[in-house]
Amino acid sequence: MPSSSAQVRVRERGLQFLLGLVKHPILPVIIFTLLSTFLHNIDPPSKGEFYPFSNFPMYANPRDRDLEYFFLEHGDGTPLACFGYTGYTASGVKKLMRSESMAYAKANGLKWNKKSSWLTAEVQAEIGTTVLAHLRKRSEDRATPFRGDIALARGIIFVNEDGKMEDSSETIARNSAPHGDPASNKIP
Amino acid sequence: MSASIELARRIRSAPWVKRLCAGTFRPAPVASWEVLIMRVLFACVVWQTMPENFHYAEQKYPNGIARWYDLTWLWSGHEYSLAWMGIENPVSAMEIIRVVVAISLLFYAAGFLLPISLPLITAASVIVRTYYNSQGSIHHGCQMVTSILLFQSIVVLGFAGRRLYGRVVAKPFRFPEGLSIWSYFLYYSQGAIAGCYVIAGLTKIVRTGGDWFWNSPYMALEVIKTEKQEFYSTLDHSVLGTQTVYAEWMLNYPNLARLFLGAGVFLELFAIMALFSRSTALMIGAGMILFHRSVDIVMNLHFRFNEYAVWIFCINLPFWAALAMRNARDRGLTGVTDLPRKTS
Repeated sequence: MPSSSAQVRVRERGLQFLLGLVKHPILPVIIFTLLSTFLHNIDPPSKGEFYPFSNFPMYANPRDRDLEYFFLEHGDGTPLACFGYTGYTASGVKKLMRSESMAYAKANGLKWNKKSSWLTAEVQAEIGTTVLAHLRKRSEDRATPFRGDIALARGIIFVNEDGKMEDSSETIARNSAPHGDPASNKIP
Repeated sequence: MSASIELARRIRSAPWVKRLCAGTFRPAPVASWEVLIMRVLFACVVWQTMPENFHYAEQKYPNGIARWYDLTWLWSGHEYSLAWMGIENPVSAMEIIRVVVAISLLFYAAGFLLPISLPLITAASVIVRTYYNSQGSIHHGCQMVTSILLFQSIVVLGFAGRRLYGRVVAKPFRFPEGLSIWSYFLYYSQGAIAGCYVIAGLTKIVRTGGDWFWNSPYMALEVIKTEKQEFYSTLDHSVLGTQTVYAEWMLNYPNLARLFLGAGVFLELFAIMALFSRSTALMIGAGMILFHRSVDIVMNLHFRFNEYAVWIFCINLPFWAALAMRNARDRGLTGVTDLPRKTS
């Protein structure tokens, strides 16, 4: 039958292509690319990150949605430069919140994703408190300890009805200074 | 119609088009001096990725091999006695690693004992950067450097193994004509670079099902977020408002934003073309540098190690400079692949 012979020819060509690919020096590069891209499917606990393999998720899903960021504050609500104390940038603090929410989900048998319904304001405050404790410890490990109370704020950037960008922020968690140290982080 | 056919025929027969199409996606002959320059420059890049110390006493969010192996021994607070070597003061693990890496990089740059020095550098890079990324904040600035080292190590160890096997079976291993270990060394270094960019492009497609291109004007929000994060890291007021103009432009001219941002993703997806030939490696490399410079201006995001790697392995200025000098001497009669290739 002509159709079956055509099918056989296509199959043979496909097989030849695959054999050629297996012998081709580009194959390791293709394997590296596919392995990294689908790492979160191959190894779900890795969430796509297994150094040096990464699926490079930065800016991979731009959408018309509220975008959040996190930053540190003094006890009185004024901003605090986190990098000098902890080595974490504000971007790092956001990633820390993400990692801690994953740890929270794992500890409580929940399924994690960015829009998880369980990630309520209360839960985020609880996660924020853990992150603040971690940051205070980090600042002490680095010998640049926070003095006084610190807080974590959550900023939101959004496009309003007029198509303009706006942002707002609110404090979501607090961490008191150890032994009631009243000293402030502020430079006099 | 015939005029356009004639034009197409002329374009096809143009020397630069012929040169551009003369690729194979396979390793090509490489001069040993070219790779020597690459190794020296890349050794400097690798050294810059090695931190001096670690203030992290724990790995609360283990990533990669840290999920199986405790890497807290890297903490600078742990000190180890090397009295048996006559060193009185105790030293941290990072100090030892930096000495080992420094010596290995010297060997790497010189091209000696690569089957030993290169895996040592690679292992150090993986361990150190894994611990760095196990602090809950994953940084994507060094993956490309470690991936290049990983590919180079596999090449060096692979061919060392084949040589050894050839001796055992009394059938000496020989490279295909014109090629040397440096051909594969460069090919897979470019492969690691291209792979990283293709991964970034594919992830955008896979995550959004292709909607990334249509939704790209919303990168405006990301631009503002990045600016805010930059400010709150150091409270440097000079960064405030610097990116707003670009973000507003993206929202006001969404189709132009789609065109420019989409071009960047296409460049990422087609980065694999860098493996086609030296000319395409140069073109993709130049495109990537332009891409990184644009991202730097618009988003204030720096990927300097990626840029260095692209300059060294894709753009490869020494080769083009040598070719230009030779062509000037020979009055432009020489083709791209005609440069003398003294292989080691």
